[in-house]
Amino acid sequence: MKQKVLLFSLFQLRFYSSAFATEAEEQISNSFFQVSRIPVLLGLIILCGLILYCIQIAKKGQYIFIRKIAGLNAIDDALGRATEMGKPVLYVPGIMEISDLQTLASISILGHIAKKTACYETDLYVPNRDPLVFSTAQEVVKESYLAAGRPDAFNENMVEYLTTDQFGYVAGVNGYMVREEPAANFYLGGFYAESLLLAETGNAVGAIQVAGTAIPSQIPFFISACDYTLIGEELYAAGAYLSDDPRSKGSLKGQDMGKLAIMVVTILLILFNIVYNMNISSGNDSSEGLLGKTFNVLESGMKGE
Amino acid sequence: MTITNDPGIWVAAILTLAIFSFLIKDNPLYKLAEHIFVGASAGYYVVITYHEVLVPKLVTPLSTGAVKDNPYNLLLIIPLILGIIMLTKLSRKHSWMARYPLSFTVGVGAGLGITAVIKSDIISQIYGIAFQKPLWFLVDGKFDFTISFFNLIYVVSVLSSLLYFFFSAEHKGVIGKTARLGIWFLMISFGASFGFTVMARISLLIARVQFLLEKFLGIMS
Repeated sequence: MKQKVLLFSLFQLRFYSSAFATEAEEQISNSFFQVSRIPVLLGLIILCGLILYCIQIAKKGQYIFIRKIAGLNAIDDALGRATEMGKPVLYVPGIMEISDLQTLASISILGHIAKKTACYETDLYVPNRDPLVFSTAQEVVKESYLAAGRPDAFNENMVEYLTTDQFGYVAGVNGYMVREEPAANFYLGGFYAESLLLAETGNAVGAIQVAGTAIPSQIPFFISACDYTLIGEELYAAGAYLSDDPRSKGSLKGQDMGKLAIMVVTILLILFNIVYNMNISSGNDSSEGLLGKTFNVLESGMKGE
Repeated sequence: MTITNDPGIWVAAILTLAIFSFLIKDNPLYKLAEHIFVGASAGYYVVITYHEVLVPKLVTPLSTGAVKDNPYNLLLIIPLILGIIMLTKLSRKHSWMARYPLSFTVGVGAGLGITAVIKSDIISQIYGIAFQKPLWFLVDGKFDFTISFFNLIYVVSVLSSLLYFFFSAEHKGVIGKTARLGIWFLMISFGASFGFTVMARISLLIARVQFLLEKFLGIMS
Protein backbone atom coordinates (compact mmCIF):
# COMPACT_ATOMS: atom_id res chain seq x y z
CA MET A 1 0.00 0.00 0.00
CA LYS A 2 2.80 2.40 0.95
CA GLN A 3 4.51 1.69 -2.36
CA LYS A 4 1.35 2.72 -4.17
CA VAL A 5 1.15 5.93 -2.18
CA LEU A 6 4.79 6.72 -2.96
CA LEU A 7 4.13 6.03 -6.60
CA PHE A 8 1.17 8.37 -6.84
CA SER A 9 3.05 11.06 -4.87
CA LEU A 10 5.67 10.96 -7.58
CA PHE A 11 2.97 11.46 -10.20
CA GLN A 12 1.51 14.24 -8.06
CA LEU A 13 4.85 16.08 -8.18
CA ARG A 14 4.86 15.58 -11.93
CA PHE A 15 1.39 17.13 -12.25
CA TYR A 16 2.20 20.17 -10.17
CA SER A 17 5.58 20.83 -11.74
CA SER A 18 4.20 20.70 -15.29
CA ALA A 19 1.20 22.88 -14.39
CA PHE A 20 3.28 25.53 -12.69
CA ALA A 21 6.06 25.51 -15.29
CA THR A 22 3.46 26.28 -17.97
CA GLU A 23 1.91 28.94 -15.77
CA ALA A 24 5.27 30.63 -15.17
CA GLU A 25 6.03 30.60 -18.90
CA GLU A 26 2.57 32.04 -19.72
CA GLN A 27 3.05 34.82 -17.20
CA ILE A 28 6.18 35.98 -18.93
CA SER A 29 5.09 35.67 -22.53
CA ASN A 30 1.43 36.76 -22.55
CA SER A 31 -0.31 40.02 -21.89
CA PHE A 32 -2.72 40.27 -18.98
CA PHE A 33 -5.94 40.69 -20.97
CA GLN A 34 -6.72 39.02 -24.28
CA VAL A 35 -9.43 40.80 -26.22
CA SER A 36 -10.10 37.69 -28.31
CA ARG A 37 -11.30 35.90 -25.20
CA ILE A 38 -14.06 38.41 -24.38
CA PRO A 39 -16.77 36.04 -25.71
CA VAL A 40 -15.49 33.38 -23.28
CA LEU A 41 -15.69 35.88 -20.43
CA LEU A 42 -19.22 36.89 -21.42
CA GLY A 43 -20.25 33.25 -21.73
CA LEU A 44 -18.76 32.52 -18.32
CA ILE A 45 -20.55 35.46 -16.68
CA ILE A 46 -23.92 34.57 -18.25
CA LEU A 47 -23.69 30.85 -17.44
CA CYS A 48 -22.39 31.35 -13.90
CA GLY A 49 -25.01 34.08 -13.32
CA LEU A 50 -27.83 31.78 -14.41
CA ILE A 51 -26.51 28.89 -12.32
CA LEU A 52 -26.08 31.06 -9.21
CA TYR A 53 -29.57 32.53 -9.68
CA CYS A 54 -31.15 29.07 -9.96
CA ILE A 55 -29.20 27.81 -6.94
CA GLN A 56 -30.60 30.73 -4.93
CA ILE A 57 -34.14 29.88 -6.06
CA ALA A 58 -33.65 26.23 -5.14
CA LYS A 59 -32.24 27.16 -1.72
CA LYS A 60 -35.37 29.20 -1.03
CA GLY A 61 -37.33 26.00 -1.38
CA GLN A 62 -38.76 26.23 -4.90
CA TYR A 63 -39.41 22.78 -6.37
CA ILE A 64 -37.03 21.89 -9.21
CA PHE A 65 -38.34 19.28 -11.60
CA ILE A 66 -35.81 16.86 -13.07
CA ARG A 67 -36.92 14.38 -15.71
CA LYS A 68 -36.23 10.67 -15.37
CA ILE A 69 -32.88 9.42 -16.63
CA ALA A 70 -33.15 5.67 -17.21
CA GLY A 71 -29.41 5.01 -16.82
CA LEU A 72 -29.34 6.59 -13.38
CA ASN A 73 -32.44 4.79 -12.18
CA ALA A 74 -30.70 1.57 -13.16
CA ILE A 75 -27.86 2.18 -10.71
CA ASP A 76 -29.94 1.13 -7.72
CA ASP A 77 -31.26 -1.93 -9.58
CA ALA A 78 -27.70 -2.98 -10.45
CA LEU A 79 -26.54 -2.56 -6.85
CA GLY A 80 -29.55 -4.52 -5.62
CA ARG A 81 -28.75 -7.34 -8.02
CA ALA A 82 -25.12 -7.48 -6.85
CA THR A 83 -26.28 -7.61 -3.23
CA GLU A 84 -28.75 -10.41 -3.91
CA MET A 85 -26.14 -12.44 -5.75
CA GLY A 86 -23.46 -11.77 -3.11
CA LYS A 87 -21.05 -10.62 -5.80
CA PRO A 88 -18.89 -7.47 -5.92
CA VAL A 89 -19.54 -4.19 -7.68
CA LEU A 90 -16.90 -2.84 -10.06
CA TYR A 91 -16.60 0.91 -10.54
CA VAL A 92 -14.29 2.26 -13.25
CA PRO A 93 -13.91 6.06 -13.04
CA GLY A 94 -12.50 6.41 -16.55
CA ILE A 95 -8.93 6.93 -17.61
CA MET A 96 -8.75 10.70 -17.59
CA GLU A 97 -6.99 12.90 -15.06
CA ILE A 98 -8.64 14.44 -12.03
CA SER A 99 -8.77 17.82 -13.79
CA ASP A 100 -11.16 16.38 -16.38
CA LEU A 101 -14.78 17.35 -15.74
CA GLN A 102 -16.00 13.84 -16.58
CA THR A 103 -13.78 12.40 -13.87
CA LEU A 104 -15.14 14.92 -11.38
CA ALA A 105 -18.71 13.95 -12.34
CA SER A 106 -17.76 10.29 -12.01
CA ILE A 107 -16.27 10.79 -8.55
CA SER A 108 -19.53 12.41 -7.48
CA ILE A 109 -21.50 9.33 -8.62
CA LEU A 110 -18.93 7.07 -6.93
CA GLY A 111 -19.79 8.73 -3.61
CA HIS A 112 -23.45 7.79 -4.07
CA ILE A 113 -22.64 4.21 -5.09
CA ALA A 114 -20.19 3.74 -2.21
CA LYS A 115 -22.85 4.84 0.27
CA LYS A 116 -25.20 2.21 -1.12
CA THR A 117 -22.59 -0.57 -1.08
CA ALA A 118 -21.78 0.38 2.51
CA CYS A 119 -25.45 0.10 3.48
CA TYR A 120 -25.97 -3.16 1.60
CA GLU A 121 -22.63 -4.61 2.77
CA THR A 122 -21.69 -5.32 -0.85
CA ASP A 123 -18.04 -5.48 -1.94
CA LEU A 124 -16.87 -2.57 -4.05
CA TYR A 125 -13.74 -2.44 -6.20
CA VAL A 126 -12.46 0.78 -7.81
CA PRO A 127 -9.34 0.32 -9.98
CA ASN A 128 -7.63 3.55 -11.06
CA ARG A 129 -5.35 4.60 -13.86
CA ASP A 130 -4.47 8.06 -12.60
CA PRO A 131 -2.71 8.40 -9.22
CA LEU A 132 -4.59 11.59 -8.32
CA VAL A 133 -7.93 10.07 -9.24
CA PHE A 134 -6.93 7.08 -7.09
CA SER A 135 -6.27 9.31 -4.12
CA THR A 136 -9.50 11.28 -4.58
CA ALA A 137 -11.58 8.15 -5.12
CA GLN A 138 -10.11 6.62 -1.97
CA GLU A 139 -11.06 9.69 0.07
CA VAL A 140 -14.57 9.77 -1.42
CA VAL A 141 -15.23 6.08 -0.76
CA LYS A 142 -13.88 6.39 2.77
CA GLU A 143 -16.13 9.41 3.43
CA SER A 144 -19.13 7.59 1.98
CA TYR A 145 -18.62 4.59 4.24
CA LEU A 146 -18.31 6.97 7.17
CA ALA A 147 -21.47 8.84 6.15
CA ALA A 148 -23.34 5.54 5.81
CA GLY A 149 -22.31 4.68 9.37
CA ARG A 150 -20.12 1.77 8.26
CA PRO A 151 -16.48 2.95 8.58
CA ASP A 152 -15.57 -0.57 9.71
CA ALA A 153 -16.64 -1.96 6.33
CA PHE A 154 -14.19 0.27 4.47
CA ASN A 155 -11.08 -1.46 3.26
CA GLU A 156 -8.18 0.45 1.67
CA ASN A 157 -7.81 -2.24 -1.00
CA MET A 158 -11.27 -1.39 -2.33
CA VAL A 159 -9.70 1.49 -4.22
CA GLU A 160 -6.52 0.59 -6.06
CA TYR A 161 -4.02 2.16 -8.39
CA LEU A 162 -3.18 -0.24 -11.22
CA THR A 163 -1.00 1.47 -13.81
CA THR A 164 -0.93 4.64 -15.88
CA ASP A 165 -0.54 2.67 -19.10
CA GLN A 166 -3.91 2.61 -20.87
CA PHE A 167 -3.89 -0.99 -22.04
CA GLY A 168 -2.02 -2.26 -18.99
CA TYR A 169 -4.92 -0.83 -17.00
CA VAL A 170 -7.44 -2.58 -19.25
CA ALA A 171 -5.60 -5.89 -18.84
CA GLY A 172 -5.75 -5.52 -15.06
CA VAL A 173 -9.46 -4.61 -14.95
CA ASN A 174 -10.40 -7.37 -17.41
CA GLY A 175 -8.43 -9.87 -15.34
CA TYR A 176 -10.39 -8.80 -12.27
CA MET A 177 -13.68 -9.18 -14.12
CA VAL A 178 -13.07 -12.72 -15.33
CA ARG A 179 -11.78 -13.88 -11.94
CA GLU A 180 -14.13 -12.14 -9.51
CA GLU A 181 -17.17 -11.98 -11.84
CA PRO A 182 -18.73 -8.79 -10.45
CA ALA A 183 -22.52 -8.63 -10.74
CA ALA A 184 -22.64 -4.91 -11.52
CA ASN A 185 -20.13 -2.89 -13.53
CA PHE A 186 -20.09 0.89 -13.73
CA TYR A 187 -17.99 2.65 -16.33
CA LEU A 188 -18.49 6.33 -15.71
CA GLY A 189 -16.03 9.02 -16.76
CA GLY A 190 -13.73 9.71 -19.69
CA PHE A 191 -12.93 6.68 -21.86
CA TYR A 192 -11.08 6.08 -25.07
CA ALA A 193 -10.00 2.90 -26.84
CA GLU A 194 -10.53 0.77 -23.75
CA SER A 195 -14.31 1.33 -23.64
CA LEU A 196 -15.28 -1.68 -25.75
CA LEU A 197 -12.57 -3.90 -24.26
CA LEU A 198 -13.99 -3.32 -20.78
CA ALA A 199 -17.67 -3.38 -21.72
CA GLU A 200 -17.34 -6.52 -23.85
CA THR A 201 -15.57 -8.42 -21.06
CA GLY A 202 -18.18 -7.27 -18.54
CA ASN A 203 -20.89 -8.41 -20.90
CA ALA A 204 -19.19 -11.81 -21.28
CA VAL A 205 -19.14 -12.39 -17.51
CA GLY A 206 -22.85 -11.56 -17.33
CA ALA A 207 -22.67 -8.40 -15.26
CA ILE A 208 -25.35 -5.73 -15.45
CA GLN A 209 -23.54 -2.72 -16.88
CA VAL A 210 -24.15 1.01 -16.60
CA ALA A 211 -21.83 3.25 -18.56
CA GLY A 212 -21.53 6.95 -19.20
CA THR A 213 -19.09 9.19 -20.96
CA ALA A 214 -18.97 12.48 -22.81
CA ILE A 215 -16.45 11.23 -25.38
CA PRO A 216 -18.64 11.00 -28.50
CA SER A 217 -16.55 8.33 -30.25
CA GLN A 218 -16.89 5.91 -27.31
CA ILE A 219 -20.61 6.27 -26.61
CA PRO A 220 -21.58 3.85 -29.45
CA PHE A 221 -19.46 1.09 -27.91
CA PHE A 222 -21.09 1.51 -24.54
CA ILE A 223 -24.55 1.61 -26.12
CA SER A 224 -23.85 -1.66 -27.91
CA ALA A 225 -22.27 -3.55 -25.00
CA CYS A 226 -23.90 -2.12 -21.85
CA ASP A 227 -27.40 -2.32 -20.44
CA TYR A 228 -27.71 1.42 -19.81
CA THR A 229 -25.65 4.30 -21.13
CA LEU A 230 -25.53 7.88 -19.96
CA ILE A 231 -24.98 10.00 -23.05
CA GLY A 232 -22.70 13.01 -22.66
CA GLU A 233 -24.43 15.64 -20.55
CA GLU A 234 -26.41 13.01 -18.64
CA LEU A 235 -23.16 12.07 -16.92
CA TYR A 236 -22.75 15.62 -15.63
CA ALA A 237 -26.38 15.73 -14.53
CA ALA A 238 -26.01 12.53 -12.53
CA GLY A 239 -24.60 14.20 -9.41
CA ALA A 240 -27.63 16.47 -9.10
CA TYR A 241 -30.06 13.73 -10.09
CA LEU A 242 -28.84 11.34 -7.41
CA SER A 243 -28.55 13.98 -4.72
CA ASP A 244 -31.28 15.62 -2.66
CA ASP A 245 -29.17 18.73 -2.27
CA PRO A 246 -31.14 21.77 -3.54
CA ARG A 247 -27.88 23.43 -4.66
CA SER A 248 -27.14 20.57 -7.04
CA LYS A 249 -30.65 20.62 -8.45
CA GLY A 250 -30.55 24.40 -8.76
CA SER A 251 -27.23 24.12 -10.57
CA LEU A 252 -28.76 21.66 -13.03
CA LYS A 253 -31.68 24.01 -13.64
CA GLY A 254 -29.19 26.84 -14.18
CA GLN A 255 -27.31 24.74 -16.74
CA ASP A 256 -30.60 24.15 -18.57
CA MET A 257 -31.21 27.89 -18.60
CA GLY A 258 -27.71 28.26 -20.03
CA LYS A 259 -28.58 25.80 -22.81
CA LEU A 260 -31.74 27.77 -23.53
CA ALA A 261 -29.66 30.95 -23.78
CA ILE A 262 -27.27 29.17 -26.16
CA MET A 263 -30.18 28.08 -28.36
CA VAL A 264 -31.64 31.61 -28.43
CA VAL A 265 -28.25 33.16 -29.32
CA THR A 266 -27.68 30.51 -32.01
CA ILE A 267 -31.11 31.10 -33.59
CA LEU A 268 -30.61 34.88 -33.53
CA LEU A 269 -27.21 34.58 -35.19
CA ILE A 270 -28.61 32.17 -37.79
CA LEU A 271 -31.41 34.64 -38.61
CA PHE A 272 -28.91 37.49 -38.79
CA ASN A 273 -26.73 35.46 -41.15
CA ILE A 274 -29.74 34.70 -43.37
CA VAL A 275 -30.62 38.41 -43.60
CA TYR A 276 -27.00 39.29 -44.38
CA ASN A 277 -26.66 36.63 -47.11
CA MET A 278 -30.07 37.46 -48.62
CA ASN A 279 -28.94 41.05 -48.81
CA ILE A 280 -25.81 40.03 -50.68
CA SER A 281 -27.68 37.71 -53.06
CA SER A 282 -30.13 40.52 -53.88
CA GLY A 283 -27.16 42.50 -55.20
CA ASN A 284 -26.47 44.78 -52.23
CA ASP A 285 -22.83 44.41 -51.29
CA SER A 286 -23.26 45.55 -47.74
CA SER A 287 -19.81 44.71 -46.40
CA GLU A 288 -19.17 48.43 -45.77
CA GLY A 289 -22.62 49.14 -44.36
CA LEU A 290 -23.93 48.71 -40.81
CA LEU A 291 -25.12 45.16 -41.55
CA GLY A 292 -21.74 44.14 -42.95
CA LYS A 293 -19.77 45.71 -40.13
CA THR A 294 -21.98 44.07 -37.50
CA PHE A 295 -21.58 40.74 -39.29
CA ASN A 296 -17.78 41.08 -39.33
CA VAL A 297 -17.63 42.02 -35.64
CA LEU A 298 -19.87 39.09 -34.65
CA GLU A 299 -18.02 36.61 -36.85
CA SER A 300 -14.54 37.59 -35.70
CA GLY A 301 -15.75 37.71 -32.07
CA MET A 302 -17.17 34.20 -32.24
CA LYS A 303 -14.12 32.97 -34.09
CA GLY A 304 -11.92 34.29 -31.29
CA GLU A 305 -9.87 36.71 -33.40
CA MET B 1 9.87 -18.61 -43.22
CA THR B 2 12.77 -17.59 -40.96
CA ILE B 3 11.93 -17.36 -37.27
CA THR B 4 13.85 -14.53 -35.66
CA ASN B 5 16.71 -15.09 -33.20
CA ASP B 6 16.12 -11.74 -31.50
CA PRO B 7 15.14 -12.52 -27.88
CA GLY B 8 13.29 -9.18 -27.57
CA ILE B 9 10.98 -10.09 -30.45
CA TRP B 10 10.48 -13.58 -28.99
CA VAL B 11 9.36 -12.09 -25.67
CA ALA B 12 7.06 -9.58 -27.44
CA ALA B 13 5.55 -12.31 -29.63
CA ILE B 14 4.96 -14.71 -26.72
CA LEU B 15 3.35 -11.92 -24.67
CA THR B 16 1.18 -10.91 -27.65
CA LEU B 17 -0.03 -14.50 -28.04
CA ALA B 18 -0.56 -14.79 -24.28
CA ILE B 19 -2.78 -11.70 -24.34
CA PHE B 20 -4.67 -13.03 -27.38
CA SER B 21 -5.28 -16.29 -25.48
CA PHE B 22 -7.82 -14.33 -23.42
CA LEU B 23 -10.12 -14.65 -26.44
CA ILE B 24 -10.49 -18.36 -25.62
CA LYS B 25 -10.82 -17.94 -21.86
CA ASP B 26 -8.93 -16.74 -18.81
CA ASN B 27 -5.82 -18.88 -18.35
CA PRO B 28 -2.47 -18.85 -16.48
CA LEU B 29 -0.63 -17.58 -19.56
CA TYR B 30 -2.92 -14.56 -19.79
CA LYS B 31 -2.59 -13.98 -16.05
CA LEU B 32 1.20 -13.98 -16.37
CA ALA B 33 1.13 -11.55 -19.31
CA GLU B 34 -1.40 -9.35 -17.55
CA HIS B 35 0.70 -9.04 -14.39
CA ILE B 36 3.89 -8.38 -16.38
CA PHE B 37 2.03 -5.75 -18.40
CA VAL B 38 0.55 -3.98 -15.37
CA GLY B 39 3.75 -4.11 -13.31
CA ALA B 40 6.16 -3.22 -16.10
CA SER B 41 4.03 -0.32 -17.33
CA ALA B 42 3.69 1.11 -13.80
CA GLY B 43 7.46 0.93 -13.33
CA TYR B 44 8.07 2.34 -16.80
CA TYR B 45 5.94 5.42 -16.06
CA VAL B 46 7.87 6.07 -12.84
CA VAL B 47 11.12 6.22 -14.83
CA ILE B 48 9.50 8.36 -17.55
CA THR B 49 8.12 10.73 -14.92
CA TYR B 50 11.51 11.09 -13.29
CA HIS B 51 13.51 11.68 -16.48
CA GLU B 52 11.01 13.64 -18.56
CA VAL B 53 9.14 15.65 -15.95
CA LEU B 54 10.76 15.87 -12.54
CA VAL B 55 14.33 16.50 -13.72
CA PRO B 56 13.65 18.91 -16.63
CA LYS B 57 10.64 20.69 -15.09
CA LEU B 58 11.50 20.78 -11.40
CA VAL B 59 15.08 19.90 -10.51
CA THR B 60 16.87 21.71 -13.36
CA PRO B 61 14.79 24.93 -13.22
CA LEU B 62 15.37 25.11 -9.45
CA SER B 63 19.13 24.82 -9.77
CA THR B 64 21.07 27.94 -8.75
CA GLY B 65 22.00 29.03 -12.25
CA ALA B 66 18.50 28.60 -13.66
CA VAL B 67 16.94 30.60 -10.82
CA LYS B 68 19.43 33.45 -11.40
CA ASP B 69 18.50 33.53 -15.09
CA ASN B 70 14.78 33.37 -14.43
CA PRO B 71 13.55 34.21 -10.90
CA TYR B 72 10.02 33.03 -11.83
CA ASN B 73 11.39 29.51 -11.52
CA LEU B 74 11.14 29.94 -7.76
CA LEU B 75 7.37 29.52 -8.22
CA LEU B 76 8.12 25.83 -8.68
CA ILE B 77 8.70 25.60 -4.94
CA ILE B 78 4.90 25.73 -4.54
CA PRO B 79 4.25 22.51 -6.50
CA LEU B 80 7.23 20.94 -4.76
CA ILE B 81 5.67 21.65 -1.38
CA LEU B 82 2.23 20.48 -2.54
CA GLY B 83 3.76 17.28 -3.84
CA ILE B 84 5.63 16.69 -0.59
CA ILE B 85 2.40 17.23 1.38
CA MET B 86 0.90 14.37 -0.62
CA LEU B 87 3.45 12.11 1.03
CA THR B 88 1.67 12.63 4.35
CA LYS B 89 -0.71 9.96 3.04
CA LEU B 90 1.88 7.53 4.30
CA SER B 91 1.06 8.49 7.86
CA ARG B 92 -2.36 7.63 9.28
CA LYS B 93 -2.08 10.54 11.72
CA HIS B 94 -1.22 13.21 9.16
CA SER B 95 -2.96 11.86 6.07
CA TRP B 96 -5.64 14.59 6.36
CA MET B 97 -3.02 17.09 5.14
CA ALA B 98 -2.99 15.42 1.73
CA ARG B 99 -6.53 16.65 1.16
CA TYR B 100 -5.31 20.22 0.64
CA PRO B 101 -3.17 19.59 -2.44
CA LEU B 102 -5.91 17.28 -3.72
CA SER B 103 -8.56 19.99 -3.27
CA PHE B 104 -6.23 22.43 -5.00
CA THR B 105 -5.86 20.06 -7.94
CA VAL B 106 -9.60 19.45 -8.24
CA GLY B 107 -10.35 23.19 -8.00
CA VAL B 108 -7.74 24.15 -10.59
CA GLY B 109 -8.92 21.35 -12.88
CA ALA B 110 -12.56 22.42 -12.68
CA GLY B 111 -11.69 26.11 -13.11
CA LEU B 112 -9.50 25.56 -16.14
CA GLY B 113 -11.98 23.08 -17.57
CA ILE B 114 -14.89 25.53 -17.48
CA THR B 115 -13.22 28.15 -19.68
CA ALA B 116 -12.00 25.48 -22.08
CA VAL B 117 -15.52 24.04 -22.35
CA ILE B 118 -17.06 27.47 -22.99
CA LYS B 119 -14.57 28.10 -25.78
CA SER B 120 -14.56 24.69 -27.46
CA ASP B 121 -18.02 23.30 -26.73
CA ILE B 122 -20.12 26.45 -26.81
CA ILE B 123 -18.59 29.37 -28.68
CA SER B 124 -16.89 27.29 -31.38
CA GLN B 125 -20.09 25.28 -31.84
CA ILE B 126 -22.22 28.41 -32.16
CA TYR B 127 -19.70 29.84 -34.63
CA GLY B 128 -19.75 26.62 -36.64
CA ILE B 129 -23.51 26.40 -36.85
CA ALA B 130 -24.32 30.09 -37.33
CA PHE B 131 -21.45 31.22 -39.57
CA GLN B 132 -19.99 28.15 -41.23
CA LYS B 133 -23.31 26.48 -42.05
CA PRO B 134 -25.51 29.41 -43.18
CA LEU B 135 -29.09 28.54 -44.04
CA TRP B 136 -28.92 30.95 -46.97
CA PHE B 137 -25.80 29.56 -48.58
CA LEU B 138 -24.30 31.56 -51.44
CA VAL B 139 -22.23 30.21 -54.31
CA ASP B 140 -20.80 33.03 -56.45
CA GLY B 141 -23.23 35.41 -54.78
CA LYS B 142 -26.30 33.27 -55.58
CA PHE B 143 -28.49 31.12 -53.34
CA ASP B 144 -27.60 27.40 -53.43
CA PHE B 145 -30.57 25.24 -52.47
CA THR B 146 -28.76 21.90 -52.00
CA ILE B 147 -26.10 23.13 -49.58
CA SER B 148 -28.64 25.30 -47.76
CA PHE B 149 -30.90 22.26 -47.32
CA PHE B 150 -28.09 20.16 -45.83
CA ASN B 151 -27.16 23.06 -43.58
CA LEU B 152 -30.79 23.18 -42.43
CA ILE B 153 -30.57 19.49 -41.43
CA TYR B 154 -27.34 20.29 -39.60
CA VAL B 155 -28.95 23.16 -37.68
CA VAL B 156 -32.09 21.15 -36.82
CA SER B 157 -29.98 18.21 -35.61
CA VAL B 158 -27.85 20.41 -33.33
CA LEU B 159 -30.79 22.27 -31.81
CA SER B 160 -32.97 19.17 -31.35
CA SER B 161 -30.06 17.21 -29.85
CA LEU B 162 -29.42 20.07 -27.45
CA LEU B 163 -33.06 19.99 -26.43
CA TYR B 164 -32.73 16.29 -25.56
CA PHE B 165 -30.29 17.30 -22.83
CA PHE B 166 -32.84 19.51 -21.08
CA PHE B 167 -33.32 17.88 -17.70
CA SER B 168 -35.57 20.34 -15.95
CA ALA B 169 -38.37 20.12 -18.51
CA GLU B 170 -40.56 17.08 -19.01
CA HIS B 171 -40.14 15.55 -22.46
CA LYS B 172 -43.78 15.84 -23.52
CA GLY B 173 -45.56 17.63 -26.34
CA VAL B 174 -43.40 19.73 -28.66
CA ILE B 175 -40.33 19.41 -26.42
CA GLY B 176 -40.76 15.64 -26.29
CA LYS B 177 -41.11 15.30 -30.06
CA THR B 178 -38.16 17.57 -30.76
CA ALA B 179 -36.04 15.74 -28.19
CA ARG B 180 -37.05 12.45 -29.82
CA LEU B 181 -35.84 13.80 -33.15
CA GLY B 182 -32.63 14.85 -31.40
CA ILE B 183 -31.98 11.35 -30.07
CA TRP B 184 -32.50 9.97 -33.59
CA PHE B 185 -29.86 12.32 -34.91
CA LEU B 186 -27.56 11.31 -32.05
CA MET B 187 -28.05 7.61 -32.77
CA ILE B 188 -27.31 8.11 -36.47
CA SER B 189 -24.08 9.92 -35.59
CA PHE B 190 -23.17 7.18 -33.08
CA GLY B 191 -23.72 4.55 -35.76
CA ALA B 192 -21.39 6.35 -38.15
CA SER B 193 -18.83 6.83 -35.38
CA PHE B 194 -19.07 3.13 -34.46
CA GLY B 195 -18.23 2.02 -37.99
CA PHE B 196 -15.38 4.48 -38.27
CA THR B 197 -13.82 3.42 -34.95
CA VAL B 198 -14.23 -0.30 -35.70
CA MET B 199 -12.15 0.26 -38.83
CA ALA B 200 -9.45 1.89 -36.71
CA ARG B 201 -9.49 -1.06 -34.28
CA ILE B 202 -9.14 -3.52 -37.13
CA SER B 203 -6.06 -1.63 -38.26
CA LEU B 204 -4.63 -2.11 -34.73
CA LEU B 205 -5.23 -5.86 -35.00
CA ILE B 206 -3.64 -5.90 -38.44
CA ALA B 207 -0.58 -4.19 -36.97
CA ARG B 208 -0.17 -6.92 -34.33
CA VAL B 209 -0.69 -9.72 -36.86
CA GLN B 210 1.82 -8.03 -39.15
CA PHE B 211 4.30 -7.93 -36.28
CA LEU B 212 3.87 -11.67 -35.69
CA LEU B 213 4.16 -12.54 -39.36
CA GLU B 214 6.97 -10.18 -40.33
CA LYS B 215 9.17 -9.67 -37.30
CA PHE B 216 8.63 -12.98 -35.54
CA LEU B 217 7.97 -15.58 -38.21
CA GLY B 218 9.64 -13.73 -41.07
CA ILE B 219 6.86 -14.78 -43.45
CA MET B 220 6.16 -11.36 -44.92
CA SER B 221 8.63 -8.57 -45.45
